[in-house]
Amino acid sequence: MTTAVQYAVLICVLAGLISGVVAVAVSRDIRIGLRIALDLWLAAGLLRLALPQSGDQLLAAAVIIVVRQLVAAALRRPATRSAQPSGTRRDTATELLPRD
Amino acid sequence: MTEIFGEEWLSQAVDLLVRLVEAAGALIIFAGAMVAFIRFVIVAIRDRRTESFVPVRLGLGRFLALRLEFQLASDILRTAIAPTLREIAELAAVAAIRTALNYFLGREIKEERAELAKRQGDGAGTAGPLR
Repeated sequence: MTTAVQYAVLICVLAGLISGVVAVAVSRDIRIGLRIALDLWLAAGLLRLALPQSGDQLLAAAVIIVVRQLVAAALRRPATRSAQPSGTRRDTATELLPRD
Repeated sequence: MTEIFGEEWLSQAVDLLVRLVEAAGALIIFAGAMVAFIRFVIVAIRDRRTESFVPVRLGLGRFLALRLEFQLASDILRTAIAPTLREIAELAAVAAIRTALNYFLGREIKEERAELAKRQGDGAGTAGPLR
C-alpha cells in the first residue's frame, strides 16, 4: 500500500504542475495557476499523511501543508485588496454625480 | 470466549479497520484529485475563462475535506489500541492537525462559494437591464 500511495502522491504533484501551467497559459495570471497547483499539491500532502511515518516525517508533512495553506491565503489577499479601491472609487463617483 | 475477544484479537480487528478506512480515504482523495485535474484541463481548453475554475476548486476542496474526515475516523479508531502515552500524544497531534486543516478548508470553501454566488448575482444583475 505504501508504494501505491507514493505513486499516487507523485501523480498528484504532476497533475498540480500540469494544471498550474495550463491555468497560467489560459488566464495569463500566475496567481490563478499557483492557486490551482497548490490545491492539488495539498491533496498530495494529505495523501502523504496516510503513509506510516515517524514523528519527524509527520511534522515535515504537516509543515509543508501549513506553508502551502499560507501561500494560498497570501495569494487570495492581494486580489481582494486590489478589488476594494476600485469598488469604493466607483461608489464615491456615483455619489458625487447627483450633487453636481 | 476470552481467547476470541482477547486484547490481541481486538488489536488485529482495529488494525484491519484502520487500514480499510485509511485506504478508503486515500482512494477518495486520489479520485478527487484526478477528477479535478481532468475537469481543470477540460475547462481550460473549452471555456478559457478564469471564473470556470472556481467550481472545480470547490469540488476538489469537498473531496479534501471528506478525506480529512476519513483520516480523523481512523485516528479515533487507533486510540482504541494505543497503549502508551507517547502514541496517544502522537495521535492527538495528528488529529489536531487534521481538525485544524479541515476547519480552514471548510472556511475556504465557504468563502469561494460566497464569491461564486456574488459573481453569479453580479452577472444576473448586469444582464437584467440589458434585456
